[in-house]
Amino acid sequence: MKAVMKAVRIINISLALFKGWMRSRSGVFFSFMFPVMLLLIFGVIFQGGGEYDLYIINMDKKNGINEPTNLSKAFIDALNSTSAINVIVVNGTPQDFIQENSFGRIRLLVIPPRFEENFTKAIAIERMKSMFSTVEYIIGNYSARIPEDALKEMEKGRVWLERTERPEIRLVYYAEKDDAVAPIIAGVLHAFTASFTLKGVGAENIFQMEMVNYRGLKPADYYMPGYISAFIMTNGVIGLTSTVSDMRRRGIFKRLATTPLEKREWVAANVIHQSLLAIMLTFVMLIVARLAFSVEAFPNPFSWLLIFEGAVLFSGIGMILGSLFRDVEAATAIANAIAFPMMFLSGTFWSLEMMPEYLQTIAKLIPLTYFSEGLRTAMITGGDASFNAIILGVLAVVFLALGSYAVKWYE
Amino acid sequence: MIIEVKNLVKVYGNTKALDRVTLEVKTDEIFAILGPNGAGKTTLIEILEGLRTPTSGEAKVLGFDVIKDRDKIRRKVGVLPQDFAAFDRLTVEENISLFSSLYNGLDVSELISLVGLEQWRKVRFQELSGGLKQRVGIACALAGSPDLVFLDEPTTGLDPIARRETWEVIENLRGKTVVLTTHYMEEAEKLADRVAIIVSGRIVACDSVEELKRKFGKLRLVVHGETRRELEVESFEEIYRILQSLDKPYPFEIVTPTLEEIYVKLVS
Ligand SMILES: Nc1ncnc2c1ncn2[C@@H]1O[C@H](COP(=O)(O)OP(=O)(O)O)[C@@H](O)[C@H]1O
Ligand SMILES: [Mg+2]
Repeated sequence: MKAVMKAVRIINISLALFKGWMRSRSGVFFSFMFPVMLLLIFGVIFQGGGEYDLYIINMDKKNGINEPTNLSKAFIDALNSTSAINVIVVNGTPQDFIQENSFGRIRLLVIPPRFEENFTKAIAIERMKSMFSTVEYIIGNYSARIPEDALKEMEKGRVWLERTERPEIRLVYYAEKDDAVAPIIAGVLHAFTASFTLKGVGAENIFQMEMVNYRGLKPADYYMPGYISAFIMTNGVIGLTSTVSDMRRRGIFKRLATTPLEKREWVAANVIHQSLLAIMLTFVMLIVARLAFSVEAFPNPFSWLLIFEGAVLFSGIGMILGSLFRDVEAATAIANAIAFPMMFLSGTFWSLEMMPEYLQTIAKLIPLTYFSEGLRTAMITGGDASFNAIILGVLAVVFLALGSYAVKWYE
Repeated sequence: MIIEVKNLVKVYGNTKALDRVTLEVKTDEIFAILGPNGAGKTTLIEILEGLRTPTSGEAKVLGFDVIKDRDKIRRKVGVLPQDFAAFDRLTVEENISLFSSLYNGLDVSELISLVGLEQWRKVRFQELSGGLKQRVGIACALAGSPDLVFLDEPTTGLDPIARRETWEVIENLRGKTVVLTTHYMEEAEKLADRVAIIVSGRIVACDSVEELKRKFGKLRLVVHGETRRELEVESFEEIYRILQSLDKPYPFEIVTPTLEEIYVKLVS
């Protein structure tokens, strides 16, 4: 009976907190709309509407006239027909083009002169090689029955093939050093040229090609777990801090303290409320990321564990800050001063590898780093995040204990 | 005695918020703690509620010690804190129902009609006027059907009409023990069976309104003769003697003391 009453009190307080939050426009905005906006904006900025622009300079011209060779044209058309890349053919030299467009994020592919000639030659050699392996097999087994002349001719051919070098076709791909998307396009190009060559060697008609459609990781895959963790953090550190300090200042705390509600129950209710928000935020982000960027990730049980640990950890911090500062403005200012640097230094908005060494060291001291990194690993890349889970678990227990201690039920 | 306080002291840094306060509250009476701002009313009442820890002295509420048994006290008393606030974005009904559920207490509709908030059931707390907010607060204080109710400045900041309405609600609490604080003499005089006057942390008087008047107030006789004469008198016999000794039957008035006079005298 006592346990039932306890549960009823905890649930009712969580519901009251949750209802109050649902009805607060700024609460809903900062908890849901803001992260969704960020995901949409950053996802689109770095994605370019689903296709990446790729500029191409084609230097393979027909003899004497300024017209592209048939093969290079076919290559470009095929590249353009893949869903990942939008080809824009330009003229001039690569150096001039890059200089003229240095403010844009340009990715440029250069098709070298004699592309058609070398490609054809390379294919011919590859085919002859495969033919000769058959011939050598025959010679090895049946040489006694083959006329001397024929053997001589075959030997001549083998020597020619050995001496002839297979021409190399060097495609040059220019991309900005810190362009997060450049490697994605490089991957696409790589897969494409491999398939182009394969078709060239194996099939009769090298212009009929088929592209393997694969989905690489997009910026949204990177941002989604980052934003989920970052906004679970702000919900606790900023949201809960201001709620707690406001309730204290207005005496709601005192009022709750003079009921059978116990401090532990109040703490539990806040943790439940924050966990509920975290789950909702996760679902909203999943839906938006799937609809807008076809991100297919779904949190596994391990991801949910991390999400819960994060919600507990940052509720603890919120309760500590809210209890330390009675003045709501001061509490919120401090909370912001903690939350924003934490957000920017933890690899939520950009990869840690892009930051200078000393900032990477600082990032290792920030709880959010372990949260967003762990969630990204568990949700997207599918690796082992148990180290992150252990760190978060320990921090969650510590900060929850400190938070419960900081909340004062009487003076 | 439902409340017994002995030599209660509370010190904040250099301020002695309570200085050896001793008083008793009887079961089922309405007891007012009257004093100016900063006198120590809230400090006293919140120690009795188990919310603050006294520096020294003793206090028992419902037979429980205010430090050792504060958890038992907090569950058994009804409290309206000074500047009561509830969950802003919850409705009247939701707030009252929340508090009732914390006690496993009274039915929400019953509480709502007890304080006359039927019309405002669905209105959010933040949209209510000061008087209506106080009524929500009183309903919340009654949610656990307590025998002892503390009301800290229940009418401060209300307009005169809302104040009178709140008085009515408090009058209806008769049958329970009510301890209220106020800085309005009128309120103490109107509601309270007994009044403790507190000044700078000290109880300077504690009695029924009539007794206070008898002890601290002087009767006055005003005679409208050639000139207006005002005399302080001890008793009605004295008035009779004075009137007899007048040479003509001049018009006269007898002025009885008000609590206000006593209060002003004691406070200054
Ligand atoms: N938490 C506190 N810290 C420091 N001083 C306090 C505190 N609470 C009250 N005081 C001081 O104690 C005195 C009595 O305050 P209070 O009990 O609130 O008076 P009242 O309720 O009669 O207006 C005041 O001088 C006030 O400044
Ligand atoms: Mg007060």
